[in-house]
Amino acid sequence: MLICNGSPRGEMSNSATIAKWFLKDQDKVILLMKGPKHQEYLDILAAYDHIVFIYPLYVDAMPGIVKAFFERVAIADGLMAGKKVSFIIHSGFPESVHLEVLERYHRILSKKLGFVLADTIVIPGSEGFRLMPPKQNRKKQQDVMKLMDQFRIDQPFDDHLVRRLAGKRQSNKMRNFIFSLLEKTGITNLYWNSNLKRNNAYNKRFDKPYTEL
Amino acid sequence: MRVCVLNGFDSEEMTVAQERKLEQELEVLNQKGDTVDYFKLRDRKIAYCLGCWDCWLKTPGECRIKDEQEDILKSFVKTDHLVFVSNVRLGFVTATLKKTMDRLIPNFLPYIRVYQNEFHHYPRYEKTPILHTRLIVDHTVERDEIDLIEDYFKRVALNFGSDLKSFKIIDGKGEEDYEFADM
Repeated sequence: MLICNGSPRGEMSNSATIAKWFLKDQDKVILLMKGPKHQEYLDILAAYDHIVFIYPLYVDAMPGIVKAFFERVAIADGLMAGKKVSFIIHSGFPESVHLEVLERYHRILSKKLGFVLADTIVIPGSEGFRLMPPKQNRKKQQDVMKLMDQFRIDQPFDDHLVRRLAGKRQSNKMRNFIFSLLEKTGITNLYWNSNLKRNNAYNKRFDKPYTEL
Repeated sequence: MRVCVLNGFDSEEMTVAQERKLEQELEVLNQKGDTVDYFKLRDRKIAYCLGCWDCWLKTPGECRIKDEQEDILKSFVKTDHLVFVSNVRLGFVTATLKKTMDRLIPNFLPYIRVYQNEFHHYPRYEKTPILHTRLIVDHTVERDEIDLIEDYFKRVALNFGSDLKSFKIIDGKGEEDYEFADM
């Protein structure tokens, strides 16, 4: 199986962490962040019949470098025809609604490139996966591993697992209310603020460098 | 009125008629006294977002990559209207446009808020431009692609804390009215 990691952070990404959850010795990983290698990647793509794309949400869709790779693939007419493809998309937001447009896009892309779309696995709340101890995401890890095992042998995805990983489409009013209360205490910004302080940038956090220009 | 136009056309060959029409419309705005910041993205040296988050956590509001995206970030904070222009490439906006959209995040804060019952980032600046889309299509583009792209820009508007005021389709003949004057 070929795993196409579409995160601009490459090996240091949450996408890479997710890939490690199900990676097997015979699998190959390519990093789409390496734009100059895209042409070379086409030859690798041609050699595999099961392909998984993993990438984070960037401004409500795929990162630009991933779209550029798709466009490159399209030029190599018929390269993806008949191949089995699945997608794992993730975002830091806790709701899956942010990923819906992208999930729909994969269906359009499958028609355009002629591949067989297995499914899209949606994982919200992924920010920090790479920093968390493995046991913290054990359930998600097991679910993804089971789904990828099904993908390898062309079984349809277990819909229950797909839905469990996607979680709630939108937060409910109570959760939003609690978040708004916690926001006033500063708890919701702890991760950002600790990083800003570590970088001696906390006092500049609200800077507007382009206001006076 | 100030208008920022991000022209993500990625092909001279396919879009020459429509692009000429677009530029004529922009000239009308200029003559009316409006300020138009016009960025033809395929002619600009703009790198892909690295996902480093320096713009949030090390140099708040500033991207570490110093390239021709910087003028766009400056225009974004001043403009009243932001117009995304793209042809449909493989059922979606072009990589040329998406690359620039990814690089707009310095103008937002890392902090999350509940906005219209969803979690979204706070804008960094008080002023948020009203969004518009001009989508160039030809006979190969299907309805579900157009619908998806419209829904995409509605999501972008929501994330930006703004509104998608107009979404116009321009077909291959390039004869339609862009109606920039309606802004």
